[in-house]
Amino acid sequence: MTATATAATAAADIISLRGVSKGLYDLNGKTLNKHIRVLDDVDFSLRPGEVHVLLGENGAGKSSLVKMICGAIGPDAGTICIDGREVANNDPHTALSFGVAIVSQEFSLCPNLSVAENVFLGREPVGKAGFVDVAALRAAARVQLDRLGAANINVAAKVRSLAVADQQLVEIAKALSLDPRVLILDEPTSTLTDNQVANLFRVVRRLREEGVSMIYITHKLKEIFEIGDRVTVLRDGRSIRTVAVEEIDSVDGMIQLMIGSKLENLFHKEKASIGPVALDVRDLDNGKGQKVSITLRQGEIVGLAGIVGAGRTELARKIFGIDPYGSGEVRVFGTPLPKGSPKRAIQAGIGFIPEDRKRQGIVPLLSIAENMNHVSMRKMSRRGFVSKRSRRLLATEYVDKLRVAAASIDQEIRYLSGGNQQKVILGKWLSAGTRIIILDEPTRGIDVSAKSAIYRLMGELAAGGAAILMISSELQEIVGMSDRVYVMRNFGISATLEGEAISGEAILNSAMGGDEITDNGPLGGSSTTTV
Amino acid sequence: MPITLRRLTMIKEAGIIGWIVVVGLLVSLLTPAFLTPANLLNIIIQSSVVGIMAIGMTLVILTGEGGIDLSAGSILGISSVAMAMAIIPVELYRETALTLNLPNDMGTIVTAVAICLVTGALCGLVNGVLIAFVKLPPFIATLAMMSAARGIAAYISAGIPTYGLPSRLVWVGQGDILGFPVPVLLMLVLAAVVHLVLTRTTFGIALFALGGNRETARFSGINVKAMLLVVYTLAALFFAIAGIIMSARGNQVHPDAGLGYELYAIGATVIGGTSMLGGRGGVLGAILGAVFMAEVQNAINLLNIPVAYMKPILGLLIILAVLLDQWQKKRSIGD
Amino acid sequence: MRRFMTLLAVALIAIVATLHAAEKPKVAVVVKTLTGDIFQLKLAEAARDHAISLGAEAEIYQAGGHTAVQKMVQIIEDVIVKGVDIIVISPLDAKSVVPAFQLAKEEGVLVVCMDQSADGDDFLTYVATDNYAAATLAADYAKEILGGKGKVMIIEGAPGSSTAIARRDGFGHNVVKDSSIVIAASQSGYWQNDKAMEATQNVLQANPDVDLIFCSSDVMVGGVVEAVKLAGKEGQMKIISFDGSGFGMNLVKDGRITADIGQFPIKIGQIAVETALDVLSGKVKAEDVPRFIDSGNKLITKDNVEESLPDAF
Repeated sequence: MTATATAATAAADIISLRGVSKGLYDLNGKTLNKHIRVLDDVDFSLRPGEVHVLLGENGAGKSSLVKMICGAIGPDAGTICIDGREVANNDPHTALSFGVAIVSQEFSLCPNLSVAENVFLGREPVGKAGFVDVAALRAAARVQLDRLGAANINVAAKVRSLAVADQQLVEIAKALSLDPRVLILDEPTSTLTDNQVANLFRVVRRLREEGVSMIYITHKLKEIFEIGDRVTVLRDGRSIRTVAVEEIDSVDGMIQLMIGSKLENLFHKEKASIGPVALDVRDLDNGKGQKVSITLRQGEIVGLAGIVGAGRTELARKIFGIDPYGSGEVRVFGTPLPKGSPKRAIQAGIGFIPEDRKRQGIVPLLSIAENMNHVSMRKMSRRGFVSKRSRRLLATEYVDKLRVAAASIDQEIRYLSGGNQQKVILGKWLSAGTRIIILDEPTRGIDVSAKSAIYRLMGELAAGGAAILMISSELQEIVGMSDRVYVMRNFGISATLEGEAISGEAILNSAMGGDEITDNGPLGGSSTTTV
Repeated sequence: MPITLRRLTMIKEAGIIGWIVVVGLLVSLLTPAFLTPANLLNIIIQSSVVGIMAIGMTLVILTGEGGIDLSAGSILGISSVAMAMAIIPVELYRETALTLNLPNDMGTIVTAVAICLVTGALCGLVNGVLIAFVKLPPFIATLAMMSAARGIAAYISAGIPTYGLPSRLVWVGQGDILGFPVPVLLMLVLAAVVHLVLTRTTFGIALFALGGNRETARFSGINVKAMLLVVYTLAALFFAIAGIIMSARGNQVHPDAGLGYELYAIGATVIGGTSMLGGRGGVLGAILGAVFMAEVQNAINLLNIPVAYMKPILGLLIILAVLLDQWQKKRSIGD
Repeated sequence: MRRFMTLLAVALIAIVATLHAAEKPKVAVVVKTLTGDIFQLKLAEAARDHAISLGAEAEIYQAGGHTAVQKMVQIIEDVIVKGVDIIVISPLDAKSVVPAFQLAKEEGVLVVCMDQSADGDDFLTYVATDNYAAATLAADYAKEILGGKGKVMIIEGAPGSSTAIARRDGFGHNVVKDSSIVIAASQSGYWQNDKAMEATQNVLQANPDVDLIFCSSDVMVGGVVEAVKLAGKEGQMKIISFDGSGFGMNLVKDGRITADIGQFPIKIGQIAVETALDVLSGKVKAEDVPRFIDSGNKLITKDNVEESLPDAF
């Protein structure tokens, strides 16, 4: 009787995984170590026409689970059923031919192909004489992009010329063009504007009505209630609980399930005594005819808010000397900083933690210790030689201090979770004696508990006399952490907020200039906020 | 007029065309022997071997992830030797280097050309298997092939060069059709065909995808292994064709033919704007790169520049050409 | 008992010593490669055959390629351990073999370099063609057939090669001496046939009135011949090549080139072995052997090509 019931449920599920396990695996999906499990006896099912949210910290196994469904990796144990039939050897071809499409977090576009070619890669319409029918190709791509409300994207343009948010939309259009039966969305909204998020959600709802099943991975808990039907929480490679969204009693409860302990106050800020001016930027020409002046004091955390493309990163790069600028001056503790020299900026005590961790922040193949020593080694070296022992001591010190979760300091950094990578990057600067830290989107793509740890660290650093400039698109983060906020719009400063005046509403107003009304209303930035 | 100029700089190959013109103008100021129809024709004919090799090299480099073929020159050599041995009786081959007045039998020539192409393709197939299935890095796999193919070429030919091929075969290298030199026509036709394949077919798009983002290509249902196999084989086929032209043009076959030519082919490809990282570039640039290299060599010979200065000059020009190309690329992306 | 042991030992030593005295001298012939390099092949075979005919044991070892530097050093070390008396060798380069040569000297093994010399002075002598002298011979012949006036061009070997420089200078310096001959151009053919062809074609664009081309190697001369033919100057432009290979001599025989300068790999091998054996047997003192022995050269023209062909390589 029980067996029949199980079979009936399994048949109803479009995808069901029973007791799947997967050990640590390499880039080709080959298991390296069966005992270190990234997935441990996981059960997961997807019903027709539901939006199933996967929730979990980074490293909880969400990505591995969807990779398994896509056929990129195979299970060491357990079974995968697609459409009620057990699939012994799931591979990308099988999954694709069944109609599983994924919009992955890492961009998977070919930069030198056009938008249209990317959307229909491997499925181009072929016309006369075996040539690709370019007109038909572009028209078809146009249809998919219009579905997403992305009318601004030129289908003939090369993908490399597109902004990140637009690339994300192309990615989604590509998945939609497959007319998938199962669509996997891995943090699709992290780079989108509210407008685009609203469009995406509309598409998601329509697809659900059409009977498409979706797996939706997100860190933004509010999104669960907007579009989710059921939620599965993963923790440390195990499926902890699956629950219908209506049955969720509290957000805190979900977070507790995710991190496994009581949620502390996310924004952890110690009282810091505000010291003298550490960084003084005067009339710096930030492009588009905008001159920017900002100050940053010791012990202060200053938020730099604004929408994507407001010129925040550009400003930070100029201050740090990566990009040149025309007029203006940067002073560090009263001493003018020469233009265009990151080396001099580092010597003056400025550290820059870029947004794009993978490309600009870490050297993936090197160990934690080696990554941490990149800046400090010059300071430690004697005639160009660096003592291995002192390097390791320093690395160990900061790994402990920052509570980096790693097996050893010799572990390759690419195996760490995003939050832990970010900690190593922080350690890299702190160990070099950095006093002014510029953080660009410090918690992007990082789970809640790692976020909390990063916030605590920032608080401690400020209390210890560091000056922190934090660029962030997450309103709550800005509001929760900043002593002062500069809001940027169109490459200039549109407002300076301090103390009680700092609120999400005020920031949004200054960032949008009040003239850009979004679909959710000017203040409806809820989807960009994090619990 | 300024609009036309701007549109010109938007053309991908504008940088290298600019260089060819600038060097040409400079040299023609220094010697009247440069800007003559005979000499210009001379340059283009001389660029045909490297040009055709560069077409193959472009395909390989476009695959990305270290895609390169160091065995290009050796494949040219072994295919040429195989062709010569199919024409010239083995006893004669090992006995005398002068093989004049060979019968002009069309059947023999066609067979020999086919053997040449098959030999090249087989070498390429081995490269492809080593890279796609054995998963050796292209650098290593083709380095091994470079050594092996050259060794076999030297062994089967006993190191003996031959001078004097059937005149119908020599026509491929020295003849002309309505005044257009055959090797140049061959280069242009091959380049045009490959250009169309690259820009207008699913194969071409898949190749760019392979170099731009191999993982994506795999997930888009593109058979990456088959692609690599086809590309390395196809490239080797072009090296073999270049071998036919080199042999026919010189009316002789040397076991050392094409020694070091992989570097000329890579040079022409990169000067022509193909990224060593893969996923970006094209064959028209590669042909122009070959023309540019032949032009510089021609200028050095005409001006009798001492050998000692030659290599540094060539190196400097390559760097300048690539710099200009990058500058032009930035302009075409910007705004 | 003890006395018996002593006697036995003495007897054994005596027997071994006699055996050793009766043993033939052992010669190791070490060359770059035998496949595809007829010059090296002839050199090696001549050295081996000559050693055997002089009553020695000889064996050929090849490094296996023109870049197998490590392999060659290993071969030298191995044959020293095997106990050879003489090593005649064609080193791959001047530097890499130096430590191995030092080892040979310490072990009392005589080393003679053939065709390519080495750094240091741990070898007995160096036997090769004097490239400068041989190219001078070409220059003298050029002056003779041009009647002391006219325009010449030189196709050089690869840049940086000492052989290329010696041949270029041997010809270039001497062809203008006591004559009104001018050198129109001197350009590299990189020891490659097609590169030589291109260089010749290009130079002829600027200098269609060249009377004679000196090509630094038979390896490249085929390209020069074809370039001249395509320029429509066959028979008018004289060509002198260098090497004395079968290919070059056949071109002379066929009237496609005017002359070839012959070198003698067979002689190089023979002289190398003979000199070393003479020093080993005490016939000649090592101090009396010159540092360099010229194996000689020969001007090959249509008149003497038939008799020279057996020496070709």
